[in-house]
Parts: sequence; C-alpha cells; structure tokens
Amino acid sequence: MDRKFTYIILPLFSLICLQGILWGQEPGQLFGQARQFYDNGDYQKAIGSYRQILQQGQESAALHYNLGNAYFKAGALGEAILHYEKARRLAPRDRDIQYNLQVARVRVQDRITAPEPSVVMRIFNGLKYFLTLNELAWTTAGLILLGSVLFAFWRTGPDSRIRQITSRVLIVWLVLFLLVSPLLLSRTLEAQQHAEGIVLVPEVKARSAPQEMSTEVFLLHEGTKLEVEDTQYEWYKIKLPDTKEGWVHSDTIGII
Amino acid sequence: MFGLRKFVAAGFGLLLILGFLPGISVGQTTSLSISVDKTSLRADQTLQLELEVRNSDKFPDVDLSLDAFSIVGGPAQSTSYQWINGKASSSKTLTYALQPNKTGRFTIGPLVMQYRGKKYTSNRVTVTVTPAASGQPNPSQPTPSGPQANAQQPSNASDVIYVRAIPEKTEAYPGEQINVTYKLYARVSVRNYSIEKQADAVGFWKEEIETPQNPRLSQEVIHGIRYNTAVIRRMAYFPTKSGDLTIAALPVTVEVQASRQRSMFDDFFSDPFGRVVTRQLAGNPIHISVKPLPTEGQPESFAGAVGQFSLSAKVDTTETRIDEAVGLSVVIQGTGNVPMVTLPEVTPPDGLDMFDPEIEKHTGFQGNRLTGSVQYQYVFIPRKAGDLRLPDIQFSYFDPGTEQYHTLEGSAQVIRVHPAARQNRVAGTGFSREEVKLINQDIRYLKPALGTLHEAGDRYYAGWPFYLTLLISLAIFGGSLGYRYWYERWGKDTTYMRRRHAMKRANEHLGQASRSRETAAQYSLLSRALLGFIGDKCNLAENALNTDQIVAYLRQQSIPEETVREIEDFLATCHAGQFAPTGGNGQTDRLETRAKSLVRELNKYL
Repeated sequence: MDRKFTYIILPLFSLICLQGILWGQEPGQLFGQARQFYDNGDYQKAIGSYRQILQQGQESAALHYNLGNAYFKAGALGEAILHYEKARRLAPRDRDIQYNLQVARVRVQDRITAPEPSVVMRIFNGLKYFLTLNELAWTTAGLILLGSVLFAFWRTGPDSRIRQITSRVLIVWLVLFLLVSPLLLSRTLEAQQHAEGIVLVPEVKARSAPQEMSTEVFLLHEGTKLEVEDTQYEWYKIKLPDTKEGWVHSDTIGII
Repeated sequence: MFGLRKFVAAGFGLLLILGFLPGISVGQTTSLSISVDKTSLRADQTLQLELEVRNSDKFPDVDLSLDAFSIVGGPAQSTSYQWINGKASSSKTLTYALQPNKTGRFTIGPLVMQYRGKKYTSNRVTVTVTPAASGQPNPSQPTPSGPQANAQQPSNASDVIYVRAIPEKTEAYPGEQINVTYKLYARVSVRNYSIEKQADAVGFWKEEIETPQNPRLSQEVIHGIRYNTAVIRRMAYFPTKSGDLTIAALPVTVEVQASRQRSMFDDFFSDPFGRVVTRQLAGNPIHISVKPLPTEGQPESFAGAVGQFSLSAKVDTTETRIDEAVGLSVVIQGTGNVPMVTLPEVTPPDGLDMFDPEIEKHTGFQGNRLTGSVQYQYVFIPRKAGDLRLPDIQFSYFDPGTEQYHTLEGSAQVIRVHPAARQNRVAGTGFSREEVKLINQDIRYLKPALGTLHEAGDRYYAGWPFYLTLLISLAIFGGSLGYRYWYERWGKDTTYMRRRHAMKRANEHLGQASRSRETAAQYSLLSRALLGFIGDKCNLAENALNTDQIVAYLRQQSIPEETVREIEDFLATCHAGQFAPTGGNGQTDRLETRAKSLVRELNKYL
C-alpha cells in the first residue's frame, strides 16, 4: 500500500499539481499578474501570462489589446499589430485599440499604397467595420423581426389608418434593411473567401511559387497586413492591397 | 540659247586677249638664273637646285654636269605666269635634287643656255658641304629627306600624283591604337579630291581623326623632287584580334589640272579655264602584325581595355536610411580603346538591392590619341540598417607601352544605413496627416478589466437564438400573408360571412333580449334572433320574411316537421307577445331557453 502510494499516486498527484500551476490559474488572476509584469517592464513575462489565458481557449478584446501592448513594448511589432487587430475584431469601436493599432502601423516599414477607394466605398467600409460580425448579425436579425411585424400590420391591420402609417414605416425599414444586409453579406463572404494576416518576422521574401527555390517577387517587412487567399503545404498565397501576389511560408504570417 | 551665250562670252574673251597680245610680246627679256635652297649643308643632306628661265617657251636645256654633286632627283618642272603692269611674264623652273659627293666649298655655275639662237648665262652660287653629323655618310645611296625618312616608299616615285598611307607603327597589341596618315603627294595642281569610302580593314575597329576641311599644304622633296603634300585623312585603327592583319588601300579620287608643256598661247586658246583630269588613286595597303596580349599575369577583371586609364569612384552620400537610394559613380578616364572599356559585373552584398548601372561614354581625340571617359552610375537601395560595404569595383587594363597589366580599384565605400526615420519620411510617401501625428507616439496603457471571455474563434452569433428569431420573423411574415390570402378569398363573400357570423349575431340578439327591461322589446328581439339566424344561414333578406314564408322554406330544406312546428309556435308566441305582453319575466325566460335550443337545433341542419 505504501509503495503503491509512493510510486503511482505521488507522481500522479504532483503532476496534477504542476498542471494546476501551469494551466489551472484563473484568467482574472493571470490578467492581474501580467499587468504587474508589464508595469515592471518585464514584457516577456507579461506576454507569457496573457498567452496562458489564450491557451485556455478564451479571449476578449481587452486580453488581445493588453497582449498587443506587451508585444509592442517588447519590440515585436508584427505580433503587436496581430493582437490589436484581433482586439479590434472583438471591439471595433474601442478608441484605445484603434489608437494603439494606428501607432503601431505607422512603424511598419512597408508603405503599400492601395488605390484610393471612392467616397461611397469608404462610407460602406466604415459602416461595415463599425460593428462586430456578431452585432451585425443580430442587427440584421432584429431588423428582419421588426420587418415581419410591420408587414403583418400593413397587410392585416384592422384600421385603414394604421395600415397607411405602417406602410410608410415599412419604406424606412426597407431602406435600413437594404443598407445593413449587404454589410453582413459582404463580411460573411469576406470571412469565407480569405483570411487576413500580419507579417510576424522582420523580413520575408514573397516568392512566385510555394517553393523555397522559386524566384523572389517582392520583399515584405514586419507588421504588414495582407490577405491570405490560399494555402498549399506550408505556404500561404498572399495578396497585398496593391494587388501584388506571392507565396510566403506560413511560419512568417499570423492570421488575424 | 545657253550654248550661244557661252559662245559669245568666249568670243569676248578672245577679243580681249588679242588686244593684249602686242603688249605681251613686246618687252620680253629672257634670262636664266640658278638658286639653291641652302648655301651650306652636311654631306648626308640633299641640296635643291633650281634653274629658272624667264620669258622662254622652253624649259632650259643646260648641261648640268657637276663633279662635286650627283643628281639624285628631278628634274621637276614648273611653270608660272605673272602679269605686272599689263605685261605678262613667264618663268619655267627645273628643280634638281643634288647629293654632295665630297666636302668642301663648291661653286655651281655659271650655266649657259641656248634660246632662239642666243646664249644666256646664269649667275653662280657657292655651296659649302660639311661632313655628315653622325654615322657614315653614304654618298652613293641617296637618302630621302624629311620626316618620311622611314616611311614606305611609293610604288613609283616618278608618279606625278600619288597617295601614301603612313602608319605610325606596324606592330601592335590588340586594342592598341595605330594611327595612319594618308598623304597626297602631287607635282601637279590638284583641284579637288574625294574619298568615297573607308579603307577595308578586317580585324580592326576604326575611328577617323578629324582633319581640317582644307588640308594644309606643305612641300616635301622626295628623291630630289619637290612635291606639294597634304594630309587628306587620318585614321586610328584598333586591332580586335591578333595575327597578321592588313589595312587595304584607301581609294582616292582626285581632279588634277592637266599640266602639259605648251606655249602660253596654246594654253589660252585650247583651254582658258584649265583642263581637268580625274584620276583614281589608291594608297598602299599596310601590313600590321598584331601580337597577342600576354596571358601571363592577366587579371580576372581584364575585359579588353588597352591604354592608360585612371579610375575614380564616388558615392553621393555616406549616410542614408533604409530604402533611400545611394548612388555610386565610377569614372574610368584615359587614353586607349575607350569604347571597349567595360566594368565587370557587380554582385551587391546581402541587404543591398542594386539597379543595372547606367553607362555613359564620351570619346574624343586629343593629340591624335583616342581619349575619353566611361561613367558607370550604380544605384543601391539599402534594405537593412547598419554599416554596409558597397561592392568593390575593379578595372584592369593593359598598357602597351610598358607591356604590363594594371588593375585599378575603387576604394572600398562604406555607407552607414540608419533605420527608416519617421520624421524624414513624412515628406515622402505613404503617411496621411493623421498618421504623421502618431509618428513616434507611445501607445496607450493596458485595459484594467479582462471583460467577458468568449471561446476563441467562436461564431457565437450563429447560435439558436439567432435562428429562432429568423424563424419567428418568417412565421409572422407567412401568417400575415396567409391571413391576407384568406381575407381576399372569403372575407368579401357576404353569403359566407353571414353564415359564419349567424350564430354570433343570434347570440347577440338573445343577449340583448335578456338584458332588456321591456317585455315587448324582449319578444321582438327573441323573434329577430331566430329569424336573423335563419336569414344569415340561408342568405335571405331579413325584412322580407314572414312566418309562413319561413316555415315553407324550412320545410323545403328537409328540416324535421317537429322542429318546424316548434319554430312556427315559437314565432307565433313572440308575435302575440309583442302586441299583448303577458306572463312577465318567467314567460320570456322560458322563451329565451327555447330560442337557444332552436338555434342549436337549426344549426345542425342549416
């Protein structure tokens, strides 16, 4: 009995304890700890703590934002931008996230000049990313519910005056719906067609084919945002805003 | 017309000349004189002796036998005319080249000439011959004087006109410049000359050295014969291969004035404007032996440049930033085959991008040597920060003078590359006004609260509440559409609607009847409840119905006789009660119950 305990139970127990130390910490606890590391200038440890929360499969806008800050301070511009972008996806209207993302982006070496979008497209894009995909989906669902109720009133209203009023409200609703549904459609299609990525290494050469030996097409630097259109083996087919295309190794890119 | 005018002009000229003729023939005094070009000379030099006879139509025929000199050239003949104060005079000159046979002091002349039965005696000249300056004078072997002493001799020295190609050397290395001077020698008056094409020179690359449009005339004595000479062309040849190469003869076309020994009158009458003869001349071909370039000690960067060169390399800046271009200008300057100067390919080091260099060449002749400069303009774009060494530029050439290779090197250029600084890139591209404000700004501080945690990457919006909402919306939409359809189909059908609402209205009437205080009204309402029900159910006009008609109608509808009788009785009671209300509340209550059961009963059949 004693032997069994020492040989089997004890190592098992200590393993569980170790696991508890490594994994079992509360996200809130880790979050507070990371802040202390950050304040002391120990950014690597702060990064470690934030990553532990992420490893538990949990995320929040604040978590990505703080992790981005720690990476930024540690000099890893690519990772910083990656996590700011992730934070922005979760909280698109957060001013702090927007600000820090802009500060980080200014330090990116590549200045890719995409063709200037038209005013209509700029407004459309502004609206498109004003809400999270979740919010956008619920907004659309709510609009559809409201629309169906208005429709019912319009078609079956007992009073002709009520029917007249609801028909006018329905026109307003229709305008709203035609505005919101393309946003959702565009965002869901976008999410399906390609992912967005950030260059994580200081310098990476984009090649013409997914092979190390193929010709170099252009050079990319840390923090540059790009579209990942396709994957093959360990390679990503990327596209820049100025429509340049090439292949880079997947290790060099972080997917938002 | 034209011919006539020419004829008239020629006639005029003839008259004019005839008018002068007496003046020309009068006052002619014939004389003979001799002259030398120098009165003292060395034994290895030649003396030029000129015999000039004035106003004679013949060249002097004199016995020129001198024991101190031997005739090595000539006689060259020349004639000139002069008009002085309306008088014509002519002179004919014979030029001899004399080689001294011995040293000492000699007197030439007086010479005697017979002309038209008269004897003419010339003057005398005294010449001193000193011993040859160096070497042994070779009196018997005439040595041509002048700078062409070593030049190749013309094929036929007695030609009155010929072209000679005079190369500066006959041995060379590939790429070494060989100048060839093409000289025209003429004892006749040359009107014009033209060179239609270059001399063929296989294995050479050639360049013409510019000569003045009107070549400068000079005089030379070849074998004692005085020639007018002119450099008509200068060429620089650069062999491109080794071996025995030949530069073919240069074809030259000349127009010469025919010089025939005639009387003055003959000349005037036969050809007042001079007779012109076109002659094709060809210089002599030149054989050049081209030695191969020594292979020993030939540097790797040697690319065929032969001559003397210098190299200078200059960067336009020694400090730059990432992505900002640095220019490196390499200039090779010198004398030699400048157009062949090429720099070896440059491989830029890591972290440095290079554009293909822009090459500019300038050539020209300086002192008959081809000189010039070749400029290579390299542009480098640094892609990383730090001290970067620009690639070494090496250039090698062969100096044919010293027969050695030389290698020049642009001094190693190190540039300092700074990281791309934001401030300086504002003026450049890429930044908007808002972005400029963010340059070198610090980021904002951490968020204090973790916020709501979600499963990473979860598309939680697409859960069941979302779809339920959509389903409810769809139901409402469908429902309202369905209602609308039903209303359109049935809601407007009065028969249907009356049937549908018959029971409801009957109950309404019954309810009114029970609430009513007036007995007469109660009877009336009860009767209306039943009649109305039957009317609604059967779509009959209510007012048009009386009891008999109703009963008859009901019988037609195959309603049991029992029920019909009861209805008949009920209606009659109601009718009676409206005009003579009796029985009070108990009576009406019973009637109401009967009405209800009748309505229920009728509803089964109608």
